[in-house]
Amino acid sequence: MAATAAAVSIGVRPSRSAGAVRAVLISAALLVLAWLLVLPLVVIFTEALRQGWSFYLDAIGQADSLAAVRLTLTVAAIAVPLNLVFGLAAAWAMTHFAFPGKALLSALIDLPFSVSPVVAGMMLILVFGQDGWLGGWIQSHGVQVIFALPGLVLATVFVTLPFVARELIALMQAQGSELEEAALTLGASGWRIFWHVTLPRVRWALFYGVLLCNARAMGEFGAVYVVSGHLPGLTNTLPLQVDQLYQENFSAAFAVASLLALLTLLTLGLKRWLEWRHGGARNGH
Amino acid sequence: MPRHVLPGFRLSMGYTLAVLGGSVLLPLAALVWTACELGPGGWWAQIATRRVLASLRLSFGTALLAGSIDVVLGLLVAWVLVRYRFAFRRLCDALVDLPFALPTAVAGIALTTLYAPHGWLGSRLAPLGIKVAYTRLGVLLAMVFVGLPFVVRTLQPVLESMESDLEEAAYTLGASPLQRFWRVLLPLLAPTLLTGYALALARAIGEYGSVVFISGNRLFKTEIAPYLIVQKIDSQYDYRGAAALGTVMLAASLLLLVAMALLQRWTRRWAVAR
Amino acid sequence: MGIEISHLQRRFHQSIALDDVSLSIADGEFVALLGPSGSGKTSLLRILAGLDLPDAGSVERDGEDLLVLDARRRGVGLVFQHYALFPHMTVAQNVAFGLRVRPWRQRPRASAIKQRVEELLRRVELEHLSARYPAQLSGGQRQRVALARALAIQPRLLLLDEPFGALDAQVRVTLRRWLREFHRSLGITTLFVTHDQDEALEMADRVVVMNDGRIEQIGTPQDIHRHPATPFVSRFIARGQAIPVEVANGTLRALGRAWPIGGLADERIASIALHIRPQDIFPTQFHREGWQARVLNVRRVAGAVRVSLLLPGVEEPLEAEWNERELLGQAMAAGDAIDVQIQSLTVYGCDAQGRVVASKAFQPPQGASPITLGSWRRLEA
Repeated sequence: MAATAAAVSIGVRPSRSAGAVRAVLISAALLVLAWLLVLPLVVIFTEALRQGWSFYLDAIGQADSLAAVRLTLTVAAIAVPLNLVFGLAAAWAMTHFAFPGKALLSALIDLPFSVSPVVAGMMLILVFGQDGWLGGWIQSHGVQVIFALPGLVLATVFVTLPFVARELIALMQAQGSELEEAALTLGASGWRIFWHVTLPRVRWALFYGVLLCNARAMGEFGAVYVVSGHLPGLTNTLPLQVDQLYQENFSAAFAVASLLALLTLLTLGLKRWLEWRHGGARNGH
Repeated sequence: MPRHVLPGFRLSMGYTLAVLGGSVLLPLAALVWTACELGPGGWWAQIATRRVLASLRLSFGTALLAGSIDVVLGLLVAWVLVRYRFAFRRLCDALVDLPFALPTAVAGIALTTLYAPHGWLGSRLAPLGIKVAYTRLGVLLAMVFVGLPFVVRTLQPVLESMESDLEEAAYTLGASPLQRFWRVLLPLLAPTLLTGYALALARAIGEYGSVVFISGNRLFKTEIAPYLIVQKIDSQYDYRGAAALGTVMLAASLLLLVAMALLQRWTRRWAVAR
Repeated sequence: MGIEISHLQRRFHQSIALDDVSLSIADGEFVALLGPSGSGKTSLLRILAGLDLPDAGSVERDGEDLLVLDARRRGVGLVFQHYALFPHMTVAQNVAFGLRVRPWRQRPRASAIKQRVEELLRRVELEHLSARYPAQLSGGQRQRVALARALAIQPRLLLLDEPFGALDAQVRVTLRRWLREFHRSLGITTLFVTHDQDEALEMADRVVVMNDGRIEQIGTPQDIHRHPATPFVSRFIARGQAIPVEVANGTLRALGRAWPIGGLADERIASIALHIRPQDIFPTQFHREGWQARVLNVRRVAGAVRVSLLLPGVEEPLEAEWNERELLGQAMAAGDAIDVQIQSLTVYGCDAQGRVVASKAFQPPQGASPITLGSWRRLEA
């Protein structure tokens, strides 16, 4: 608001040069956005439909593609709630208590953000793979982690771990502990406080975090690629299926990719809507 | 005064630590341990091969350049989005998140198709002798794509909350718009720009999906480091080698994290109390 | 050489910031713009600085239109309320800024700039802090740097926006005196904005009292205090209070007395207000021409005695203020009945918009001559 006041007050007498600068800058920015962002988006849909609608629907309806959709949904359906719970627990611990090493904890929570997804996948193989640290123990129980669903879930959980937590921590720290403490003095138990005082207040930030977490979970490639084994129909998530198809059937790859692109657009739209409706609630006024 | 007035410390903290321990610390430890199994000599032998060094040069070098380009483009976009009102502004604002939200594989194949020799842009650049797909230029482009939102989203809140009186003071003292930008705004934005740079850099170094398609993975020329790690695991079962390379990337990530924390502290020193 | 401001109008969306504001500032004068927030004083300042344009009206300096010049070329130095010092530059660099951004041809040589900066810092007594950053300075020091920076461009007009608003009381007092002396030595036409009366009345050659976008009164500090031209000035500056009044058939009734009043033929007058200042009630030995008042409470504040009195014909207690000497050695306590005399009352005739059309100050023991309202004089002495 202050900055736009500057734009108004300093350009008080819009000289010809100021107007020209504005036009140039806006055009340049729009050009950058169009070139860098819009074009790739357009390409996805164009290539997907290049061979016509029937081909498109056919490609999506392939058994492998459908299996990939199912798998992606399954992985997300497991990973996102897990990270939701983690986010709530972490935010509760970070907000309402004082303890040494908070900064370290915060850094640990943020770590998956800065680690390359491929490195993440590799780390999981080193632990849960056949020759990994827990590999023997897992195998003796007849469970397979790497190259199977649990591995996919673990990789996804790792990569999307911070999403919900960060949103919640930021908001809850801004909100402080007062209301919860007030509830405590009124005799509420911990769970009651959590359900009736905290949750309602962080609803929208929670939704926002889940939205981002989900988008990343469904779209994760690098980490999942490493732990997957690429068995079409079995351990190929949608992004992996896109990769597989890309080597074989160009347009089909884009057809499947367009599903993910649609998901992205939906995510961005919801994100925008959330910010518009509940921007204040998210920022913890 | 008791530290834990509210209930649930043990439960929440315990769960948090358990999850972090199992899914973050444990894998990290495994990575570092496995790399250490090589011993310093072995580790170095893994890294100092021509292939690995080439990939590291590519990943790091190109990321550094991509980050710089992102800073320039990101500043332009953020500036325009914050300071001006124009048609479709909100749409553009939402669009900035695209590289962040779009699955990396999808972005990867889209960019490749766009810049391949027969692609929309590739075919136009080919006559000029410019090849993008399957070259380092392509890697650069993909990294710029991936890093842009980080710079823009870091800059936007800072630009929005900047008080106008510093610019007005410069104006009344006789500074032209360019001088105001160069002498007042840019220095003030420097810490934020650097933070955005570090974030874009961190992302670009480790990026796999968006880059691996357009890079073409030509031996010694356009292999990015993450691709090498995948190769070592998938085809060579060289876990130790992959771990060694992984530690290099991890070290880079951690360094950037520390750099950003230091940047935050530096920024706070300059803020003049109101 | 002087500044002529004529009939400025400025509105922002629904609210009027400046309503027909006219003012003449003589060369070298130190003028205060005094008023509550929202009175338009900052808007006026920004228009003078070139950071805003009026919707109507003109500003001329020495006969030249100032509004066609943009802020860069106006030669106006502006000191912002929160100083607006560039945090990434040292004190010296801040002060040098205005000189270093000059177009190539007009830029002094680096050595000349350095000299000028040192000279300015010496004048504001901060030469030992030239290498520090604003974050390392105290509020008062930052204020002086902001002043030096504005002066570096050798402005012909210096504008100060609530210069001491953000400082501690003690620092404020010291800086006030310092700034007054400083202005005397500089001689630049200075206009400063404040909502603090003491500041305005203590520092300025002339005070312009503003309210709701309009100028209420212009005059010397003493003038404003002694002869408030409008009910607002009376309330805001002189701590005047309104007394219930009735006017009918040429007679003014208040405080249980009646006086003949003339000059009401002016058809613009829609309402009458009667004001009294705390200093104008004082205890007296002679109860013949005075009033009997009941004391509600007595407070001793910083060398003065403030007494709440109930007078006949007035429901609300009136504040009287006098110093110990005037008490004539009387001990006074709540509940006492004392005799008071009123030295001066002011009648204001206001039009339908509340603007004063005519006014008259009179002494209550009037005798036979009627109070005749004269037309409102608000312009300077």
